[in-house]
Amino acid sequence: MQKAAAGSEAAVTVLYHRYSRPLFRYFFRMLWKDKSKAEDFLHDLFINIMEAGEKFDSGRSFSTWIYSIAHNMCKNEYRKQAFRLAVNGHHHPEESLPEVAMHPLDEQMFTLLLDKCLAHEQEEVRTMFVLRYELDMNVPEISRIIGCPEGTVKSRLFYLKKRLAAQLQQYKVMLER
Amino acid sequence: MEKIDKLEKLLRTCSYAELSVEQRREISEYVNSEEEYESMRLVNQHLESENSRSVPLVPSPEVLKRIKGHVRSTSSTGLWKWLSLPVPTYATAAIAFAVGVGCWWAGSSRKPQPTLVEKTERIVDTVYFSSRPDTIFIDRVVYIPKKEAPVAGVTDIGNQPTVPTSRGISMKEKEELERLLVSGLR
Repeated sequence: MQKAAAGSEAAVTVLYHRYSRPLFRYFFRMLWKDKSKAEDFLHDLFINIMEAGEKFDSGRSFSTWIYSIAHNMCKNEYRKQAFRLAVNGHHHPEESLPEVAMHPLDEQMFTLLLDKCLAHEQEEVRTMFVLRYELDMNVPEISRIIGCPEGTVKSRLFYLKKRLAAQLQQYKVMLER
Repeated sequence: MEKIDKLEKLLRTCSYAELSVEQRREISEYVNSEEEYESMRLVNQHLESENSRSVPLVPSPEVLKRIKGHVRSTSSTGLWKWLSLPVPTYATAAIAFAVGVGCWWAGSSRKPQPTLVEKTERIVDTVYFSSRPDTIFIDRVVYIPKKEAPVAGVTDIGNQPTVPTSRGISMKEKEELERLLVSGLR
């Protein structure tokens, strides 16, 4: 990290190959599945960590630090998006997802339901979800990244599952009719 | 939190039918019905497999190129690298103080030189042009009083001063003479 911050191209490349895929996945999932936006954010994130390299505390986990920065970047983007929505009244494509089609519950269907449910969740809950189920992180790591107690992470993820289950139940009822 | 952990474990391992009465009583705090429990179990299974089935997402190679380009542009070498180093405020203040003290010391060790002030004074010379007088004296009349010889046989009259008997010029003559001199006429 220190080498990357000092401007070593090789060190930056190593860091990039190690972290780009999960980070890209994180941004893709958090930023409305917009690939170009996710790429821009990935680029900006690496620039940020190189420029703020001296702020990195070597006693901390690098992974936690880098995901904390990514989390803050997404938070800022959500704020900007909220402002844009307030000014323009423009809705993001994901918020106007097509109505759930009437066919048996399969993987694709579940993903659609999940996306719809997550679109209405708070930014922090979405982050927890993506870190836990998309990037397969454990609860202590998530709590360090977001900066909240482990118990909060656990309970929020649990209640998210509960809400998802409720949606799933509604869908099943619709299918049975 | 222990209860949630326990419930998560049950969701992963047992269906609602497999739960004991005690377990059902324990989960009732969080799960209202068998349907809800089964739905949550289904969600759990989907989520657990979410990571494995998801399409691998790879960022475009352009991103790395852009990052490398940025690294090259910022990691300049030489003088600029030194100049662009972040300097803490106290270091700047210390340098300014040191320079100030140095200047003061260098100034105090020298003896003060007398200051020469160059002053420019403007002197105006007045030149008077005078025309030549139009009166030209060609001749000068010099009057010499006549000396008269003492009168013989005259007794001493005492201490009375002798009155000169010689004749001078009268006032009238004097005026005429002056007029003549001024006018330049003969």
